[in-house]
Amino acid sequence: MIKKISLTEMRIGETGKIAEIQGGQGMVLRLETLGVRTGKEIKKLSSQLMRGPILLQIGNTQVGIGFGIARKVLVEINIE
Amino acid sequence: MKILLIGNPNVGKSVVFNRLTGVDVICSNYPGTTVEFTKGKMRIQGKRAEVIDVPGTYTLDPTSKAEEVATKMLCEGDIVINVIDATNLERSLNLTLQLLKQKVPMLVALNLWDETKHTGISIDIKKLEEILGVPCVPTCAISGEGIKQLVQKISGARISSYEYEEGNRWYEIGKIIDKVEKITHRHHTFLERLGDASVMPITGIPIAILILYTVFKIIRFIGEGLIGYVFEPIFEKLWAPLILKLSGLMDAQGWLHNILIGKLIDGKIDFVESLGLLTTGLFVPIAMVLPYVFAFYLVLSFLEDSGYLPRLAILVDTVMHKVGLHGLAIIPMMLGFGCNVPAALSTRIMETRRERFISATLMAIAVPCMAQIAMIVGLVGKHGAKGLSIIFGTLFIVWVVLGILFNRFLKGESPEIFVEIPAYRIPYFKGLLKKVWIRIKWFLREAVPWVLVGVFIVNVLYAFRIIEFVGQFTSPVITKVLGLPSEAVGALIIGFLRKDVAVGMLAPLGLTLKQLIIASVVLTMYFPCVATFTTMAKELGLIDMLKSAGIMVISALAAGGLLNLIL
Ligand SMILES: Nc1nc2c(ncn2[C@@H]2O[C@H](COP(=O)(O)OP(=O)(O)OP(=O)(O)O)[C@@H](O)[C@H]2O)c(=O)[nH]1
Ligand SMILES: [Mg+2]
Repeated sequence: MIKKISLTEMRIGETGKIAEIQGGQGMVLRLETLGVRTGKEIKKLSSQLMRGPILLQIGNTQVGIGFGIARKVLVEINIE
Repeated sequence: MKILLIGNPNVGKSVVFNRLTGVDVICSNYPGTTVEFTKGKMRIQGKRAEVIDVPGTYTLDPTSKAEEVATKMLCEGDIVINVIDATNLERSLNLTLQLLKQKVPMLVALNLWDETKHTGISIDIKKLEEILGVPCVPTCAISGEGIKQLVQKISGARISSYEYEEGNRWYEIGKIIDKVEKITHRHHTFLERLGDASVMPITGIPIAILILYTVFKIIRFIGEGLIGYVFEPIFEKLWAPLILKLSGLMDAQGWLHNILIGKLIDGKIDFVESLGLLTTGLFVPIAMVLPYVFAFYLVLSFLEDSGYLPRLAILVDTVMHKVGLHGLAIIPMMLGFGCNVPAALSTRIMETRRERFISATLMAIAVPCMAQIAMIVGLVGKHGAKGLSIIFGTLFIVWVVLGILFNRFLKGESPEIFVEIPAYRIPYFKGLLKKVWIRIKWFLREAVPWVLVGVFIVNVLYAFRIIEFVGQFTSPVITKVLGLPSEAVGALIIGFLRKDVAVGMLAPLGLTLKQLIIASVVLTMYFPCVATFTTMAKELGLIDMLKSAGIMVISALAAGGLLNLIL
């Protein structure tokens, strides 16, 4: 079954595919520059305490994303 | 002819620039090392050309001030060398395709080529050249491989005829990558595993504490060692007898003696208190400050090149939000411990004006530079570690309290962090030493002359009794509020010029530990030195700089006054 959740709800080590970015044009463009855009496969590497930033692996790059932005990035994950 | 080096942050543009021109620039393993352009010269087939190292940018629509500098430069170039990260084609080509549309003659350097090997990436350069319609050269800037070929191909730079529709850029990039790149299976390296551990909160926070503690220990070890075993013996055993002879020749008196050698104390030279150009003027920068500056930059450069700083930024992000910043602001703060000037410049990596104001102000108020720290350690350290802990503890509290107030009362919000975390790299030894050397050279060139000027002015101030005079009408504040003797105002005057000399001026005043603590804190906070002031004024604009300075004066008095009450 495929479920759509936000980056912040993903578990560490989980992989998924970016399905939707709920933000304005400016934010979408900015995220794109580091490879965060719909259709990309990602893996969540870590998260910090108290709503700290999320670390993602996208292809060969690691990207740190603040909690507020990460919440608006929705990811499709496969659950059995 | 003007050649621009343009590319994403942290792809090695500055190393390429150094290879092409021989001009030394700082290169570090985090995005946003270069925040201002640097010019250099080179010869191509006998003709002179100007090469410009530009701050990195991800797109031609800038999101920070450093990126803005980059896009503004673009219209000035005759040729663009687009430096790209060969291990990150997709992200790099995004900028490349935008550049192709600008219709300037261009070529592409696929840098970090060495890293494609162990990451299992192979790229068909011929095909990429064909598709893009501009020359493409693989390079490994750090070892110099491919740089010669790059230079040869500069004259072959072409305006590409590649066309695509703006809305389809990512689709186009995908198509190109499918054609030119093959990825084979790869193993996780030890560095990658360490990379993961250092950003997990459970392991990351202990690792961060361990690293910072080690940094502190190493700096102390090298700094104290160099002072105790190298520089002090040289000055005491070799230099002092020479100077004493010179003093004898001058009958130990006269204005020239005063300026060159200063006061003899019990017939001997006291390198801190004598206040002559050849005694204190040389001893302070070389034997007291330089060892710590060297030690600090050695360790900082190692941290910068390893790639740890952006990870530290992730770990401290939440805390930084409390003071109106985000994690990346840790970079100006760390640089500030070396010298506040490059730190003030590096606030450009922050996205908004508000963040630049907060980070520059907090840095200038609460982060003493290594020159000043070395002097404080030399002076206050004699009384044990307690005084030092109170001084640095107070500065830390000031940083936190002011930051919270700024965050509360300055309009606007702090944007979220959004940063690329580069791969860990083992610092390249030669590159590391070169960087330390660049910084030491800079220190010797910029600091030593100003220390000498400072010592000279101190002499003038004393000779014309200016300190006494100013002391008379500043004493309500200096004596009543801060509890310092009125002569301490001399240090505050010199502090505008050089804070290390200013701290040194406290030595002959016979201050108690409490007074030393207060004076050190106030000297750090009350105003930036002139070099920092001018840099901040350029970065923030004069009005904001004045606001910032007002905050400094008021908070310095408040902190000093409070310490006077509670200690
Ligand atoms: N392995 C390897 N490392 C490199 C190479 N070129 C540069 N580096 C390293 O990559 C890091 C970034 O280099 P810089 O030259 O500072 O990068 P930059 O593009 O100027 O970065 P910004 O100024 O932040 O835009 C440094 O740590 C370099 O030592 C290369 O060809 N191979
Ligand atoms: Mg650079």
